[in-house]
Amino acid sequence: MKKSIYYLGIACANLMLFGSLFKIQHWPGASVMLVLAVFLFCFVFLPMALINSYNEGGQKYKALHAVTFFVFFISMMGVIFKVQHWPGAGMFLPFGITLPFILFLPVYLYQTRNEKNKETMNFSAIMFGLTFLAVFSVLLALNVSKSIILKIGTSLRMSSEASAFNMATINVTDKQNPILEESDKLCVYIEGLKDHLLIASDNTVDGKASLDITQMANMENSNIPVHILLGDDSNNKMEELKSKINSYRESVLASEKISPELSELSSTIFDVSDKDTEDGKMTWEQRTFGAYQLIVVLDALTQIQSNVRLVESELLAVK
Amino acid sequence: MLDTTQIQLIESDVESARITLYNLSDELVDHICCAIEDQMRNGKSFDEAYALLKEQTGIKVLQSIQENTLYLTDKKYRLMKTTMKITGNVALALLGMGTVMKIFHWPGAGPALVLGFALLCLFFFPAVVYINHREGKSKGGPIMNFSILVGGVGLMAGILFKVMHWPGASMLLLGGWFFILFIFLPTLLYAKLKDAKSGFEKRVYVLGVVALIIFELATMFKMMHWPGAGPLMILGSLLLVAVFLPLYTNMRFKNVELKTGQFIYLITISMYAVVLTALLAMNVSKDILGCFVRSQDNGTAINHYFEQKERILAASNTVKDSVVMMNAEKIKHVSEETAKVKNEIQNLKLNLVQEIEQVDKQTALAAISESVKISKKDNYDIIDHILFDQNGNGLANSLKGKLDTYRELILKLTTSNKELSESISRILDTSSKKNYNTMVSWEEDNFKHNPLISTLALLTALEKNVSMVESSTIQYINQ
Repeated sequence: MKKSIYYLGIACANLMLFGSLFKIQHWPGASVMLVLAVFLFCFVFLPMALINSYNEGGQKYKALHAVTFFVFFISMMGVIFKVQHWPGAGMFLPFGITLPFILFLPVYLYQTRNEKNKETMNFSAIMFGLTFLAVFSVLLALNVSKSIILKIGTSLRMSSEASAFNMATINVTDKQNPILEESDKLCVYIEGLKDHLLIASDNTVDGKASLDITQMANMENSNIPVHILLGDDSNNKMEELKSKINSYRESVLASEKISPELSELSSTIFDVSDKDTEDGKMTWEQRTFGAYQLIVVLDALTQIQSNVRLVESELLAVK
Repeated sequence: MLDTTQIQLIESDVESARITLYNLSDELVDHICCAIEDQMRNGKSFDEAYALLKEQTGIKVLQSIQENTLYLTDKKYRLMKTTMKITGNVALALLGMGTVMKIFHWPGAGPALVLGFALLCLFFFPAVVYINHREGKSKGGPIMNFSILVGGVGLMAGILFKVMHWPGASMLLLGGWFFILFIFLPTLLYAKLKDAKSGFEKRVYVLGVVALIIFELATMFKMMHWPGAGPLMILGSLLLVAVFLPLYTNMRFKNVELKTGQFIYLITISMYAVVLTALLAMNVSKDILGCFVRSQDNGTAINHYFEQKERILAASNTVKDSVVMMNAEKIKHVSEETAKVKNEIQNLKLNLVQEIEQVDKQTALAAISESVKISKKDNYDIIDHILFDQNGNGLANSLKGKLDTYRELILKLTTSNKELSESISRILDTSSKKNYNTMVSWEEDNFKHNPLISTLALLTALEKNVSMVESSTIQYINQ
């Protein structure tokens, strides 16, 4: 084996590693490294190394060399198209995932069928490597891309904007209406919970809680929200929140001027009771906060605030 | 009847015939002794009987017996090997196809995965371990074979249970990992250390196994949702690819033991390991999509309220005097324009659900109002296709155009109330945004690579915003 091939192979693997690490950390330059790694691998390393292996006494395995190039070229290209969201990833993906098992492996097994014991180590290595590949592909099929987290951020932003709109345009005819104060109290309480969560998760600017999706830390953390909201039995914030929402709903429904439509809406969006679903009985907090990832909890709390502001605005607009 | 020295003589003779196969030499000695005893019963002495036997059978015959035995047992071994190859290949092909079917939401993914994992657990793994045991080359011996069998089967079954959402997945996974991490890998290290020729080689193997343990622990932490998976993964993959891989290749390269074929395999598998693990680390569990189901249903309830409110408003519109009549004209205009925009958004939602779920209009409408029923919540390929065409236009762009015209119309009607018009222009803002130093258009920022369920939630929220704007505008006109 030539030294150049050896250096090239190590370089490819390391570029891939650092590209992936940069990508996980959202540092700039990840895409360049990943694309370079895959292109070096597909267009330089793979052909060079295969030609070298062929000349080193691999003439027996003509088909295996050709198939190895074809399969891993397609498969790696599929990976980079998918990771980079390039158009056509959907076309590469089904072939990229299946080809190693339905083309490469049978050809390898057929061509090396008469090899004796000394090849057993290679054989088990290839079998275990491909098993790893298959199992990880299965696991990946169960997940969605992390960019979905940013979409929760969009949802959160829209809820805050809706709250702001309703607060700015609210047309108060009856300043004595108790709903005004009740809505403020509930929203301030929820804002306090949000600040608590943000400070506990290191999302602060100058010591104050700051909700900035683009700069947010610990977005996926679920320990902090669980600890703060569920706490221990003596300090269960979730029960407190539920009872506050409950009493808010009661006072809204008890308002004199409420229209039947608005009372129907209020009983729907402020319903904190348990419900039967396809997955069995689910409590309100399970339905609302899911697995308690920080961003999900913040989104849900902001949505409650937005709902409160909407109902307040609709209720007070009635003359 | 034979004494010890006589038996020893036979034993040494058998040994000199190079009968090495396990148990066969004992059997042969036993057989020869019996034959000699038979002859001695007919009156011959031991020496005569043994000489006669040797004439009849001889060393060559003993060796051919060994060869035949080997061939016979080899046949079983070969059968095992064929089983291993065929089941291994079929199982992996099933897993690959099952994954693709699962990703593309084609039917049959479940059975393919169950069958694939079952073949892997019930046939492939036992066959591999049997062959390893028969060849008896590994120094770790039975402990290694047992731990990889139990650990491997446990892990595979655990992943299958997890994929199929069957109970007990965590227990199986943890059990499997325990055997592999704490029994198999240390025994493997022990065996490799015994084989190692130099101190340097020993250090490389220790490093490799430690890196592998860290890497596997990271995967385990990730799958069990334990904190600390990220740092472990970075450490493990750095050790494995940036440190161990070059050292190992260098070592084998210097000893001229490494063939190019093996090196290609080594590099390919490390690249896959790195990229797949990174993708796994970057991804989040599909459960998070439930967040959008909540947003979507909440928005739908609010939009339903606005629709009812409007219907009542339209029904109660009675003309009283000229001022009210002029206002009524305006309000009618606003309502009509709002209805157009809302229709546009609703049709877009319907279009997306129908295209992605491949269902009729009625089912799509039901799915929009109860979004938990949508099966392909995470599809974004078709959304990108529908909302964006090659020139960057498409439906997302036309929606933006409609929102822009609507906003301008409302702003014209509300110019005299500065606070209201500012709020309206803020909530219906569709301008481009700066993102990582590049300008991103409103439609790309909001809709590009956005999965179905969050696109629906977003469109529903937009619809809600439009309703709120309408409601405030009508209130303002009525004042």
